Amino acid sequence: MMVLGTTTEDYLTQVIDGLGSGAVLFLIASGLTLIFGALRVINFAQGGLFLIGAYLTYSFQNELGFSNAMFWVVVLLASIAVALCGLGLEVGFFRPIYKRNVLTQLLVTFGFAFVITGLIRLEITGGGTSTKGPPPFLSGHVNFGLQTVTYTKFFDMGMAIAVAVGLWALMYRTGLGRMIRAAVSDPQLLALSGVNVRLLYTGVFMIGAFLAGIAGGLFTFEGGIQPTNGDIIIDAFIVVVLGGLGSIKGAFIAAMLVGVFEGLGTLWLPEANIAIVYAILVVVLAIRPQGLFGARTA
Amino acid sequence: MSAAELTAVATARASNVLAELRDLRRRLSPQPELYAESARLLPVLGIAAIVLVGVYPLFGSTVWILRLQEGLYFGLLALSLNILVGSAGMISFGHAMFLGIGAYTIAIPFRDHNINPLYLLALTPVAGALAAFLTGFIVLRGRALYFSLLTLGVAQLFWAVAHGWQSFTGGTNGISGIVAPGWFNAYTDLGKHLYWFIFGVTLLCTVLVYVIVRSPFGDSLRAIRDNPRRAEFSGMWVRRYEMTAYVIAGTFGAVAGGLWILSDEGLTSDTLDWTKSAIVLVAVLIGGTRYFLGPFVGAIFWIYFFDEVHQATGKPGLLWDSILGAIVVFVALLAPGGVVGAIHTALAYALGLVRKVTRRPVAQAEPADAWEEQETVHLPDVVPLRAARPKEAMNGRPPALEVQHLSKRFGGLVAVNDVTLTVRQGSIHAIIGPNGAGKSTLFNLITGLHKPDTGRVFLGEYDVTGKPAWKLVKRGVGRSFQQTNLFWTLPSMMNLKVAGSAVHGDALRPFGRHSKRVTVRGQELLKRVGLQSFADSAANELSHGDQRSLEIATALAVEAKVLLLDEPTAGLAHTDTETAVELISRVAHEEDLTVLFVEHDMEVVFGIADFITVLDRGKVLAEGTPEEIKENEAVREAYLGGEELTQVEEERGA
Repeated sequence: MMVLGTTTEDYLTQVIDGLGSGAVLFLIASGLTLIFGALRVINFAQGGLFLIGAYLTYSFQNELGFSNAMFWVVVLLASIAVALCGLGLEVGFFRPIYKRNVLTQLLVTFGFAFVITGLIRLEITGGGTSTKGPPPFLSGHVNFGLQTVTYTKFFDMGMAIAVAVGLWALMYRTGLGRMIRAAVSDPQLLALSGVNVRLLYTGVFMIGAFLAGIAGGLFTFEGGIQPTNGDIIIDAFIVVVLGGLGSIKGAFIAAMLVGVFEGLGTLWLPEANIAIVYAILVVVLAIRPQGLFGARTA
Repeated sequence: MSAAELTAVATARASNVLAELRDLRRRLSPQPELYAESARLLPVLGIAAIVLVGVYPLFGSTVWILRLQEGLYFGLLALSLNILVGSAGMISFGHAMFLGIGAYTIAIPFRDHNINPLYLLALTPVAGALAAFLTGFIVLRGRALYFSLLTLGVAQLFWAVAHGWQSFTGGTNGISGIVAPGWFNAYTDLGKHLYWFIFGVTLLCTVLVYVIVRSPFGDSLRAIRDNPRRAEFSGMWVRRYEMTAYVIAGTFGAVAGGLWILSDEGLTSDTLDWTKSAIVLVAVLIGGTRYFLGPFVGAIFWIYFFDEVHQATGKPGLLWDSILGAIVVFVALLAPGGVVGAIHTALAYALGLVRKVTRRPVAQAEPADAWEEQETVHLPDVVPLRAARPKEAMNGRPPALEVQHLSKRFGGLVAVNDVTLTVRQGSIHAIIGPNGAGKSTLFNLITGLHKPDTGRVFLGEYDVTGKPAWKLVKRGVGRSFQQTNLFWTLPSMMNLKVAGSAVHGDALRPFGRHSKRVTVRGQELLKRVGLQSFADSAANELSHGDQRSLEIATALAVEAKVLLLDEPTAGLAHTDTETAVELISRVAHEEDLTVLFVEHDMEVVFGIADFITVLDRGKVLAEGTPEEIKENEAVREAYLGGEELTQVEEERGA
C-alpha cells in the first residue's frame, strides 16, 4: 500500500520505533506520576535524575567493562545510584517543602534540575559524549522490506511492559502498595494509624528515581548523551498530564501514544514533528481536562 | 545508660536548644507593627529606584545600562506574569509565548514589508490580547496544576510551530537586523535614546498594571485565589475573571516581547522554549510575588547573577547552571518572600533598632477606617428572639423559593427523593433531620453545585434549576457553608467589598476603587455583625465565631433576599451560638430576609424558625410550624425523642 510514496513497511517501522521511544518516555513518566500521586509534588528534577542515570551507565561501562552480562550489572548499579541521589534530594531538600505552596515546590525541584544539568555539563565537556550503544545481544536489527528496526526498540518495549506490570503488582498486590495508595487519599489518617509516612514518601521518591535511572540506562542505546537530553522531562510531563496525574496506566498509554505519533510525524510532516506532542496534549485536554485516566477532582 | 536512654536524653537536649533558639528568634524579630510600618516605606524606596533607573544612563556604566535595559523588558514580562501568579494564583508555565507573540508581531512585518518597528510596537498589545483570548479557552479548562501544564503545552506548541515553520518565522536561523530608524534606534547617542524609550513604555505599562491590580478587579482576583467557591457564591463567574486576567497578562507580556526585540534587534525560535517561561517564573518568585515591583527586582537580580556567574565560571555552560540552580533553591527554601521580602524584613529589623535606641514607644497599629468611634467590645445589641409568626399570616405571602419534586441519586443511594418545599417570603424556615437525611445535598441542588436528576427549583418566578451559583447570587441568593468559607487572606472589610462589587457588576472594573455604595454597605454590615473593629484584620486571623459572623455578612453583602445557611452554628461554643442565632434572626427581621437553614441544634431551630421541614432518608417526613412539628407523632418517634434519635442515627451507621 502506498500513501504519498510511503509504504506499509515505513509505517510499521515508524510505529515500532515510536513504541520504543514511548517506552523510555514511560519509564521517566511513571516515576514522575508515582511521585506526584503520593507526594503531590511535581518533580522537575526527574529529568536531571534521568540524565544522571544515562551518564553513570556510560561511565560504569567505561570502568567496569562492556558485555552482555555487564550491561545488566551496570544498569542496575546506575539505577541504584540514582535512587540514592533521590534519597539525598528527598531527605535533604524536598521534605521541608511538602507543606509549602506549589510555587516553592516548583522552584526547588526546578532549581535542582538546573544544578544537575550544570554538574553533568562539567563532566561532559564539549556539549555531549558518545556512548557505547547497545550491548552485543541487542545490536542487531529486524528487516521490514527496505526499513529496519533495531532490537533495542523491542527491548525498550519489553522493559516498559515489565516495569508497568511490576508497578501494578507493587501498588495492588503488596502491603507497601496499599500504604502508598492510602497515603494518596489521606496521609494524616495513615500517619495516625502508625505508619511512618515520611519514610514511605522517601521510599516512593527512591522508586521514582530508580525508574528514571533505568530510563537513563536504556537511553545510552541511542549512542550519545547531551546535557540538553534532560529536557525530555517536558515530554514526560506531557505524558503524565495526558494520562491523568497520578495514573500509571494513563502514563503508559499516553507515552505509547506520544511515541507512535512522533514516529508517524516524521513521515507526515517532518518539520512539524516536535509540535505533535504538544498538539496531542492540547487536543486531548481540551476534550478531557483531567487527562485520559485522571480523576475528575484532581 | 542504655543507647535508648542516651538517645532520649540527646533528643531532649536538642529540642531544648531548638526551643531556646526559637525563643531567641521570637524576641529578636520585629513586632508586626514594625512590619506594617516598614511596608509603608517600601513604596518610597520603589519610587526612588524607578527614578534612579530612569536617570541611570546620564552617569552609569555601559554594562549596567545594558543590564537595566534587559531588566526593564524582562521585568515587564515578569510583572505581567505576576498578575496571574501573585494576584490570581494561576501559575502559568508558558508565559514566554507572549514574549514570542510580541516579538514576531514586530519582526515578521518588518522583514517582509520594512515597517517601522516602533509603529509595530503599538500592535503588540492587540496581538497579545488576541493570542491570550484564543488560547485562554484551552488553558482555562484546567485548574491549578492542570492550568500550569496546559500553559506549558500551549507555549511549547507555539515554540514548536515557530521552530518548524522556517519560511515564516525564520526558525532557528531567526530574524535579525530589526532596527528602528531615526532618533530611537540603538545607535543614537550610544543607545541612550532607545533605553529611555524602553524605560518610558515600561513605566507606562507598569502604571497601568498598578492601576489594574489595585482596582476592584484586582481585589476580585485575590478573592478568587483565596477561595474560588466563595467567589462563585459572591456572584462571580470565576472563569470570566480568570480569562480577563489571562488576557491582561498576555497583553502586557506581548508588549514586553516588542521591547525585547527593539533591544536585541532580532530573535530565533529557540529563545522561546520552555526554559524561558521557567526563567520568568523564577524571576517573579525571586523578586517576591507579594510585592508590586518584586518582578522587576527579580528580573534584574536574575540578569545580574546570570552575567556574573557566567563570567566567573569561564567557559559558557560550565558550572553556571548549577550555581543559578542553587541560588533558586536557596531563595525558595529560605526566603519565601523573595528579595523584596528580605528587604522588607531587614527594614523592619532596622526600624526596631532605631526605636530601641531612641526609646520611643512602639507605635500602635491604628485602624485605617475610623468611620466612627470604635467599640472595644463587639457584641451586637441583644434583640429578644421573636416568636414564630402565625401560619395564616405567612401563608398569604408569595413563595420566595420553591422546590418541586427534586431528586438526586448518587450511585445506588437516593440522597434526595422527590422533595417539594415552599419557602414563603420573609419566613425563617429550618430543615432538620438526622445525619444523612439529604439536607446538605438539598442545599447543593438548590444552589447549583449538583445537578438534580429530576425536579425544579424556582426563585420567585425564575426557574433556576441547575443554574450555576453565581447566577443565583445575582438573583438575590446568599449562602453560607457547613465549613466556614471566606476569602482568607483578605481583610474582613475587603471580603464584603468584593462580594458587594461582584453583585453590582463592578468587580470586573480594572481601574478605580470599589464604589461608595459598596463601601458604605460593607461598613454597615460589619457594624451590624459587630466586627467594625476588625475591618482590617485578615479573615484567617479572626476567631471562629467572628468568622461565622463575617460569613453571614458576606452572604448579605451580595444583597441577598434569600439566605441559605448550612449549619450556621456548627462548631461554635454555646455563647457564640447564641450570638449567631440572635444575629440571624435580627438581621432577617430588619432586612425582611427569607432564611432557609439547616441546623442540628434544636434549641436554635425552635427558637427562631417560622416553619420546619423534617427530612428523613431523602424524603420529607413532616412539615409545619414548630408547634405542629412538636405535636407530630411520626417526628417525635423518629427523631425528637432523645433515645430514638440516637437509635436512628446508629441504624444509619452515622
